[in-house]
Amino acid sequence: MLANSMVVLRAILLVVVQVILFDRLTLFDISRPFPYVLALILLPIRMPKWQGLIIAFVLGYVVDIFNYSYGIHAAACVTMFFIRDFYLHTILGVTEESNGLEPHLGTIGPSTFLLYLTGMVFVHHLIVVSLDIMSWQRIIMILIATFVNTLFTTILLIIIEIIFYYQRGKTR
Amino acid sequence: MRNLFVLLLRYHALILFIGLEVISLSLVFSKNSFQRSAILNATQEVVGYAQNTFFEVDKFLSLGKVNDSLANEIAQLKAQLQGFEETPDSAVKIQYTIPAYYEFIPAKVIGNSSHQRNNYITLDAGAYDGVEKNMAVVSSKGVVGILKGVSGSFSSGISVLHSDFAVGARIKDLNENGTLVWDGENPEYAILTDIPGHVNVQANQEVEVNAFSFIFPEGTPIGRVVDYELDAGKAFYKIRVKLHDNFRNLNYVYVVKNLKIDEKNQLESKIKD
Repeated sequence: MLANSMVVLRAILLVVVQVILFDRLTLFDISRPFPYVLALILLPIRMPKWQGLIIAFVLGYVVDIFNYSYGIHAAACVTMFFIRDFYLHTILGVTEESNGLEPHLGTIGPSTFLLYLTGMVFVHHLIVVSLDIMSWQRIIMILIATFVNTLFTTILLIIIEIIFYYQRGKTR
Repeated sequence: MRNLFVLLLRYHALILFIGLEVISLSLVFSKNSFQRSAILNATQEVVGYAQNTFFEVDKFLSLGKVNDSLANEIAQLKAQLQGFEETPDSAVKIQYTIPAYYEFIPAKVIGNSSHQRNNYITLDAGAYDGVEKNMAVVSSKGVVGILKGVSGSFSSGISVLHSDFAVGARIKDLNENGTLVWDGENPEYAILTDIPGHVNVQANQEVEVNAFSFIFPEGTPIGRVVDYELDAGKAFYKIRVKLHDNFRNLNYVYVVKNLKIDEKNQLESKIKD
């Protein structure tokens, strides 16, 4: 119960920070970071998929409302969460031991965590940027914006992870 | 029947995924703006309240800039006033009243973006202040946008930086009419199209709203011609216009209320019958 309320509290906090601060941070006029996806990335491994999908949809939709973007973030979050288990277990080879734990630096290992983080953020940002620009003629711009944005968000998330979770992971 | 339930149970995650994805993508692709304005109206009060709270901080931090722009505006108004005072007393004064077509409602911009493909603005003036849907928003420098959703004390709409935005515009010196749109590349520049290739377009010519637009007052400034190109075989220029407004920090704007719009709409609907 305590763990669940922590998940909800973290999601609310991240959305508030996203709306107040990160929606106003523009990088090179192209894009901006979306660190609120951390709330989805840190959901416990192998949690019931339907729960996760609904959390992803609601989270994305709340961010959509504040951005007037109607469903773009919801679509990206739902897709990202849907492929998460496949990515974690089949591609990165995270074993059954970590089921029920939150994926952190300390729980699934630094290199796996970095690959996991970057992959998830990339999928999310690719969908958000493509749906936002939505034009084949500007495919180059979509790719540039996605890469810059992914880099920006990933660096921010690594900083957040190290500040808030790294020590705890070590002592566990 | 039992097999169906087993199937549904096994693939419930996939089915839920497809369902949620269809909902969100239908929201993205729905071209009919009813859905969008319904959402705008429903969530306006909450989002407006939240953005107003964040805006208080922004407002404090940008007080200096606001002071400068207000001082500039006062200086301009003073210069205009001088023109009136200098008219000789001996001249015969003709009493006439300019028909008031437009009323200006001051508002603060509390929500605004400039780096998405479709950008929206939120103002702190709403229905209680006399703001209605489809009213124009201008600043002291030029056009800002058109309102699409209005609640009690907030309103929001599309800014110039939106794919649905278009306004009839003309080049001031040439009196040639065209259409101003935004191509999504750079928030400082818009594109003026439909100017025929035979006219003598030059850089630094002023672009303003033309007489065909009824929601924007005629002559509202927009920007200045930066460069133009005429592709071989094309009949119209593609002109890049530097917008006077800086959409990265809009502060104070005016909502334009057209007092004669009902009359015009009635007349037009009469003709259609």
